[in-house]
Amino acid sequence: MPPTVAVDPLPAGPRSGEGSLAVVYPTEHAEDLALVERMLDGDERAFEVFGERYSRALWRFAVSRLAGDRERAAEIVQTAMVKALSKIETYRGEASLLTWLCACCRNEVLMHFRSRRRAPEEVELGEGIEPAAGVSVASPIDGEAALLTRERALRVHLVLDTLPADSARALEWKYVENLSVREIAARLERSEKSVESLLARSRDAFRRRWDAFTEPGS
Amino acid sequence: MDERDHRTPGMREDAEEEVRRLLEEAGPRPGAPETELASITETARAAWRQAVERRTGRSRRRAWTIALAAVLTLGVGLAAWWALRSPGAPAVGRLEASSGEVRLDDSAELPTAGRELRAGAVLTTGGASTPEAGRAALRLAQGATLRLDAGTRVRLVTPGRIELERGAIYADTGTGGDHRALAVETPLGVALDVGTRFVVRLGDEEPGLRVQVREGRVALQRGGETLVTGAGYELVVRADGSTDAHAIDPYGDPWRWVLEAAAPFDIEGRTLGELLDVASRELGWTVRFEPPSLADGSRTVVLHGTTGDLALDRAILALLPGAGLRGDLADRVLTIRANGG
Repeated sequence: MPPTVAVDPLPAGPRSGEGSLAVVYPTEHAEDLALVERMLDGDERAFEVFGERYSRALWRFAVSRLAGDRERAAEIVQTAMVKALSKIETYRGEASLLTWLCACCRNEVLMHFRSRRRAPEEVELGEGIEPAAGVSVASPIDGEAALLTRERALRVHLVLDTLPADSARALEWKYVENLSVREIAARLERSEKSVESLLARSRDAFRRRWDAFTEPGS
Repeated sequence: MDERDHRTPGMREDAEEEVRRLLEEAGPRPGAPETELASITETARAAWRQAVERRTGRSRRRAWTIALAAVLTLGVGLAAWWALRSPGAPAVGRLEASSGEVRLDDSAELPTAGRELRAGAVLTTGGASTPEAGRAALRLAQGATLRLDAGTRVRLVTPGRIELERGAIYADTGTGGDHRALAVETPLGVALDVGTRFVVRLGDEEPGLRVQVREGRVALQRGGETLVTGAGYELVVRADGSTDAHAIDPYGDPWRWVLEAAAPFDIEGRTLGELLDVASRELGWTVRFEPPSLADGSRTVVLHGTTGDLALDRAILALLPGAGLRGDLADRVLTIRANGG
């Protein structure tokens, strides 16, 4: 794989290791590696970006694996984040940083269930159980499709979480709430021109991160 | 799609449509607990700082290896050792107050309040095995405050990293924007604060580590395991590696030494309100004015003089009559009324 120089994706800010970004990385996750490199240089702003991008995504991931137990999810994410940062220097960019962090979080969730010596709670409709009036029972195939849809929705939300707040909001307003550029501009207190540009950049960033997060092996 | 919405150069229309389809299908993101997430990030900050320090340490070690290979002399290592303790080492904090026997770098000279502490400094307070017990209060360069109980020995590695060899330290690292990350390293694990006030105690008679949390949360790393405990709890790590956690009173008698080790509160020119805020923080008091409107004029009363040797709780009760007030303390609730009212 031909190496390339990482593009610094972070907003300008004070940094301790000026010049240390001239690091050669594999192309796929150069942005993530650059962020980690700046964090290891002691760059406070890089850490802030890391926290903004990943704490919410990990919490959402944990909640989805804990049947909606928000309190437990916070505890598990806290542990996962501390552990992940304790070995952040081992991140080599083989997968996206989101994938790497979700793997750390998944381990913590598994340890949680092991420590309680029981499997995650799952709701099943057993044979012979009649559904209540007005409730239809999905076939196994429909159930699998629904599961896949839920999992894809979760992944979309995780990727949105890793985008800058304005970018994620603009995309949601545009494609989920179907707002016009003018309405988004009013909400963000920006010009329509700048919102058009923001939307274009945000779609691009979303697409890149989506591809990185959903690539085979992720 | 909005007609004026720009297409990203190089992005095919079907790719854009895929973004639209994915977002439409996924629907809105459910809300997340932002305060909780901020707290999680603060915990992570301490772990990140440790990672940065580890890397910095490795870089330094690499540099030393090269130097040693070139110079081929043991004197280089000795020079490094001296450099750490020489006046040229960076300042990591300042001694704010001490009582009894407190020694710096095992010197016979007792350091006085105001003494600057440099990287690598070792502070030892007298305990059961010395003629006189001692306690100390320090302020680290990054803003956190530490108090050392009797029989304690600590090494100040950096403003964010302390090595506890024995005894107990109380750390107040602030909260929110004032928070300063701190790692307390012990042979039984590393306590990472989360914008909090806590005690880390290495047992002497009963070997083991105790992390007692008054406010916020503390993450304890040991081996590949991280244990998180919160306000009002004590985490116990025994010498055999077993752990336990139970509820504690975060302002009970075992915390009395923390108050006694504090630097004296200088009341001259400060307001009664400031003193009451200190009491809330140090003693866990809830302060109520009856009637509530009494607070408006009372909190701004400016104090003069000194409280001498009076402990904070007694000093407050003694000061109130001078301001035309009286205080009734019950179950850590201080009710302040107009004197004679």
